[in-house]
Order: sequence, then structure tokens, then C-alpha cells
Amino acid sequence: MSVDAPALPASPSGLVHLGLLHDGPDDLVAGATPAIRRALAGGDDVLLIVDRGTARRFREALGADAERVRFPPPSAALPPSAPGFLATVRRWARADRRTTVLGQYPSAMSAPDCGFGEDAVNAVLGDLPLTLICCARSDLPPDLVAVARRTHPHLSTADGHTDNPDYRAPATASPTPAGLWGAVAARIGVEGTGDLAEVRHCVADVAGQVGLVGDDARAAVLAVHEAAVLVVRGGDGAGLTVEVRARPGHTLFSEVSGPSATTAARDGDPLAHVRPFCRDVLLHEDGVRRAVRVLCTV
Amino acid sequence: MTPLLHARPDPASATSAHTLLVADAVDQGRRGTASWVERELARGSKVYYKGWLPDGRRPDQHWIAGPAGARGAREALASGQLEFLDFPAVVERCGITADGVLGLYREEIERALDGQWPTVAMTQESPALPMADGADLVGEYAAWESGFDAFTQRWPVRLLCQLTVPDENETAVWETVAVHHRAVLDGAWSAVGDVCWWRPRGDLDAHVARRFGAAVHGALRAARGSGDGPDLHLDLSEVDFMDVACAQILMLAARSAPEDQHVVLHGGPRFLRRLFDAVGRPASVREGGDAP
Repeated sequence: MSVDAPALPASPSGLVHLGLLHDGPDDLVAGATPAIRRALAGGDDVLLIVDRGTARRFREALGADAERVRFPPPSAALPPSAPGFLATVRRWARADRRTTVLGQYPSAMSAPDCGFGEDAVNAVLGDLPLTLICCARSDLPPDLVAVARRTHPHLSTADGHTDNPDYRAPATASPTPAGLWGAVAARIGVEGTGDLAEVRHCVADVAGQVGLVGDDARAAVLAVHEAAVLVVRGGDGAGLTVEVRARPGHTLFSEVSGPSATTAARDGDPLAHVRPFCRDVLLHEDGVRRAVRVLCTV
Repeated sequence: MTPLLHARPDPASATSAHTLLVADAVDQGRRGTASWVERELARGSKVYYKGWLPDGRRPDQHWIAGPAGARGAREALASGQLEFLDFPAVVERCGITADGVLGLYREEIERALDGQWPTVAMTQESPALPMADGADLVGEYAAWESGFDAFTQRWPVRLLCQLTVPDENETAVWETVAVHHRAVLDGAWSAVGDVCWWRPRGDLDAHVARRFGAAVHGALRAARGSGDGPDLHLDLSEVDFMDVACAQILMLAARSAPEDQHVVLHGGPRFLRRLFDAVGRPASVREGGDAP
């Protein structure tokens, strides 16, 4: 099932995750330089994490602007396939200004693991003031190129951004390594809205273990409850599962999954009423299964 | 700021005088009713039970006297402490009119008190009233329920009205809960109150949102008709959880109330105010002097 990429606002406040497919270093530099110049003009902190030859070509293309760009060695960043990739990405974000990071796909990288990392960026780092430009050579292994095409909502071109028609939202099954969210603290079957009290009590317990207290704990309980209501009301109410994962001191992650919606979606954001009460919430629908993921942070 | 009202009814007495017991399923309702009847029998009350009796059955074959019923009910039927009246017999004796229903109940109360019973307990099963068919019946229903309130104030009478949701149409559920907003027991939530003061309790979520909405409607309607109104003072101090659906219902009810009627909030956590703000709090919702 095709999932439309979200429209990219003119002045985005959150994550912009761009793919750039190229035929080699010269094509990469030619395609990316306008985007780098736009980022510099917008006051971004710009990092180009590329091999030495590509860095040299960027310096030549950017001229004096290259002085305002940082060129960390490729070893300074983990590839999307590495378990610590998300932490690396999170460290690039700054509170005072937007950061644009351009990186290259290494040729020796597990495609499934790369897909995990890229999906996870879309799923949980949507609020970071970051522009990521992920560059993949078209002669990389086909499964890696397919991951690059699938996981980037937008493509970077010399003329700006375009929607990526090949983009697919993360699969209903959790796209991220379980270790990212911590251990499963609870898994509850839900048959209808009458079972939601048990869900709330369970989330409240886990929220306490994570370190969420007071209004933060209440907000987490409400957000997961509303996610469950959405999935129950969208389907026939049968066969729902609520899975709650905990990383004490860091995050409470809940996934409510069930059969795909049987009722037509209403206009507008179906999660607008949940967003004020959690760090992030996402709805995934693939025609067969439906999942709402809620992230709360300590 | 509008000051908090001083004269609050005692929740315990409010729930024991004329209470609505709401059940999502027959078994759930029977458990609650059996417990109530058992308690009244143990107190020594004269108990009048009105319900549905399958064709050809005797009262001692009704579920209330069986294994799932109240302990001592079978013996109470035999001794006369518990009297059973089949709904068809009720209709035959009084019709479905407020005067007829109140006349029947008054006769039963006076007969029990004449018989030296110290208290009278009266309960009736969900009546399956066809309220969707006309406003007249809704008016009659509201009138006899109001008469029940008068009985509890005049005599030592406790009433338990049973509402089994699957047995009633939406209009009947709505009106029944609205009329009984002062004393509702509905699973994980309940409510007590008087004419212009109302205290919902427990978990208010999407599962009970329509019934909560009916109770809010009933509370606002009662406050408007009261000499102490029209403002409704809403005590949130015992609300354990409220979700977006119930918060929206509450705010929409306040928004659609007449211009001179306000909902005045008392107690409860700050988080509820955050929730109200998130769903859109109208100007007609105000804070009492004891806001958190």
C-alpha cells in the first residue's frame, strides 16, 4: 500500500529526512551543493560527513562558503545500520539553531539493519530541528538502494525538495530494534472500550517504573488511552494488542495495534487530540494492520 | 470567582436514597442488584421487587430467588418480607402513567409502614420503555422519577432503579441517566449531587461517554430549573481519570447551555484543566475559588 509522504512545510520546525540518489561523487556534489547553500543561507549548522575525495569536491564547489561547513571524518558518524545510530542523530540536534547533516551510505551495510535505522528516524525523531540528507549511490547493492528509496519521505534535488513516490511509512510491526525502547513491560489484549481501564492501570504502573510522575504520568496514560480508543473505534474492536515498553529514566513507548480501520478516516489529523499529551505519536496503516505508536519521555 | 457552595449532600445518603444502577450486561446488573437486595433484607427492610417473569414461572423461580440472586430471597418471598410483582401486572394495575405508577408505589409504602416495617426498599428491573416513540412517555417517566425523590424525602424509603443498557433504546438510556444524575452507579464511574451541585467520581472514558453526557445534561437541566441555579457547580475532586471524549462532552454541554448558565469547577487536579483547555474550554466554564 502506498502511503503519501507528509507535505514539507516551507520553514519546517522538525525533522526533514531527505534521500539523494546519485551516480558518483561529481553527481552527488552537483546535486547537493544548492541544498547546502540554502541551509547556510538559512543559518543552519552544516555537517558534511563524506569521504575525503567527496569532501575535496564539496570545498571546491562551495568556495568561500566551505569555511562555514564542518567536515567530520566518516568515522565520526555511525551508519543507519548501527545500533547507536539514533543516539548519533539525536546528538546532532541543537537547541539554538537548525542543523543540516549530509552523509553517505557505506557500500558494506546490512540492508535490513539500515531499514531499521532509517524507519526509526522517521518514527521517533520527527520533532528534532534537523535536516538529514542521506546519499546513496545508484550502483550500491539493489536492496540498499531500495531501502533508501523506501525510507525517505522526500528527495533532495538541485532544485529543492520533491515528494518521494516510493516512500512507505514504517511497517506496522515495530520497525525499530526492541532494545531501542527497552524491555516489554506489559502486553494487554483489548476487546473493546470496556477493557481500557486495565490498559490505563498498566500504563500508569509502567510510567511509574520509568520515572514519569504527576502530570507527566497522567499525560502518558491519557495519550495511550486515546491511541487505544482510536484503534478500537476505527475497527471492529476485536483483536487489539497494547504493548508497553520501558526504558527507566528515559522513555515509555506504547504500541496499539489491531486490524486495519473499517470506517472511513475523517478529514484532518486523527491524532491531533493526542499530540498535546506525548512527545510523539504516529499512525501506521498498511491496509491489513493498523498501529498507533506513542512515545513519552521523562 | 464564584464561591464554593456550602451545603453539600452526603454522598453516602445520596447514593442510598434513589439510585440508578447501570449495567452493560445482564449478569453485571444482576450482581449489583442481588447485593443491594441482600443488604436491604439483612437490614430488615420490606423489599418490593418489580421485574420480568418468564411465562408460566412463579416469583420463587425468578433469578433473584435463585443461585445468582440474593441470599435469603427465597425465604423472604415465603415470609412476605420480599414481594415480587411482574411488569405486566404493574402495567395492568397502573398503566404507564406517572399518577398510576406513583399511586402503586405509595400504596406499597403505606402498606409496609402500616405493617411496622422500619424501612422500605423498592427496586425494578430495566423496564424496556419505548421512549423513542414519543415525548409524552419521557414526560411521564420524569414525573414519576421525581415522585420517587419525594417519597425518599417523606418516608424511610430507598429505591434502586436498574438500567440494563442492552435492553433499552438510546433515548431511554439517555433520559434514564439524565433523570438520575444525582445518584448514578455505572461501573467504574458514579455521580452524586443535588440541584445545582454535582460530583462525578471514578473513571470517565469513551466507554461511558454517552451516559456521562446524559448525566451532565441532566445536571445542567436540573440546575436551570432550580431556584439556586442556574449555575452548575461541578466538583472534580473525585475524578480519577477523564478522557478526551468526556472532556469534549462536558465542554460542549457548557458551551450549548443558555447564556446565563455557567459551569463552575471545583477541586480536581490541574491536569483536568489542561485537558479542558486542549479540547476547548468555553467562557461559560469558570473556576471556583478552590481551584488547584
